[in-house]
Amino acid sequence: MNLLRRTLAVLAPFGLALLVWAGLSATGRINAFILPAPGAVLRALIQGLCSGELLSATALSLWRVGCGFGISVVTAVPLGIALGSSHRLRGLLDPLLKFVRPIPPIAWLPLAILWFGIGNGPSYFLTMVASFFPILTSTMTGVENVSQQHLAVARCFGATRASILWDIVIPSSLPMMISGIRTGFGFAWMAVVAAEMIATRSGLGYLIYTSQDLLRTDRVLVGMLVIGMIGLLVDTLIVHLKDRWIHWV
Amino acid sequence: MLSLENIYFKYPARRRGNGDAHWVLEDISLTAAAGEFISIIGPSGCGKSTLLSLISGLLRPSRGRILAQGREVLGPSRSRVLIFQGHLLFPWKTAIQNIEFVLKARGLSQGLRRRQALEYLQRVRLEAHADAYPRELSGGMQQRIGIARALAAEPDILLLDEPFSSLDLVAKCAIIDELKAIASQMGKTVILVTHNLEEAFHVGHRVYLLTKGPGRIAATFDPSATKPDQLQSLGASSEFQAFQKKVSAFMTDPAAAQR
Repeated sequence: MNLLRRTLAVLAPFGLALLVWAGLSATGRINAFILPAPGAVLRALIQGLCSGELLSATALSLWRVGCGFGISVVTAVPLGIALGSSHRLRGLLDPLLKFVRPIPPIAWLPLAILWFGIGNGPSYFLTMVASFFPILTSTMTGVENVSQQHLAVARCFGATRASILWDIVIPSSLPMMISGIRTGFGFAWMAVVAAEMIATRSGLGYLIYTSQDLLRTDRVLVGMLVIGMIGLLVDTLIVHLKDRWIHWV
Repeated sequence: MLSLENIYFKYPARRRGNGDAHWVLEDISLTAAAGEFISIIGPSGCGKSTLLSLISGLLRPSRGRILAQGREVLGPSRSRVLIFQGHLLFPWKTAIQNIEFVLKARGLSQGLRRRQALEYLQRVRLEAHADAYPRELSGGMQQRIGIARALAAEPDILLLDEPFSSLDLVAKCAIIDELKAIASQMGKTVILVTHNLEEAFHVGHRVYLLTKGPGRIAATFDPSATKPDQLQSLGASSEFQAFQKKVSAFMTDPAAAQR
């Protein structure tokens, strides 16, 4: 019963949006090129699925994000821990980081194309840049905010530096790290679409971009739906993992 | 054996031109033998907690020296464990993992850790809650785990910073008696900082009264051997009432009380 109610609560806004959309199309006053009817989009979705085109585009986009985002996680987390625990390192690098951070990922694209050429390279790079700073900043903040008292307790017991890192600093800042990773994935997922529109000839971004050229607005919407769906799925997955790992709060 | 020789302390001035920092503690000397239970009382802000941090080695005295087992205290050590105000268990570790953390710091192998940690939990009768997280335990239970964790360090000296302030009377009495028994059994020196006169009088072989600004030892008391066994019945005893009267005299006018 509870599950049913929760499912309904999640689905209701979607249903409402669909209803508005269907209603607008049914009036017949909106050109199908501007906004195709839900039925047309569904047909395009099925078509895309059957031809395998949609699946391969999605897989490619996910692969690119996975690579860039993965590089970002394995570099930004250790760097964030180092910056969070060392005043001196933070003082040294903070101005540079603050300068680079506000540059939008998309602004890196021309440079990325020059450096890596047309292909996967710019996508890897852009998704990495997009997710790097949220992960870095949250990890750093998490580590900086580790309770001084917990650290004093650990020092009092004569814990080694390695043990303080593994047993105190990392678990204590894990909630912040994960929320940075969550934001980071969202940014990376947006960045890959942008990169694919310009710097490659495949993936969901490319699919949307070319569909617009062909006046296939239904396919544009299919691409957008898939992007939104995957963003939602991954976000839910991360929240789920967070709840499983961080069971002490 | 612990001895403090003419300890002075002030926090280092953050910036130059910040004015002279005041002495937090001035000329503190005291000794405590193995198995002795010492209480330190005083108004808030008198430097009681600072004194414990100095003994633990987390802070260094500005002047004077602290000797533990005949050696000067130069930094934190497992042999002098501080049990903090409030509950400073690691919330992301279960009861037993909190204790295993200390055993790991002592260099015990992974296999040994769990077995030994259970023994320490048994000592505070919480072995049934080994796998509970701190948030799942009551304040009293958390405090007992804190004590078990401190004991796991095998310290010579236990430093308690108002550890019972958040507990109700029943839980407090149980823990205090448990701690007293453990300390005398295992020959630990215990230093208890509190603003609760009953606690101080009940457990202390000796009670030091600190006054404020700067913190100094104003008086030393030896609660008599005839004091009641139960903390609950302390209020009615004439010895305690006399002690209470003297303490409040010192607090209001130390100079007059000395005469």
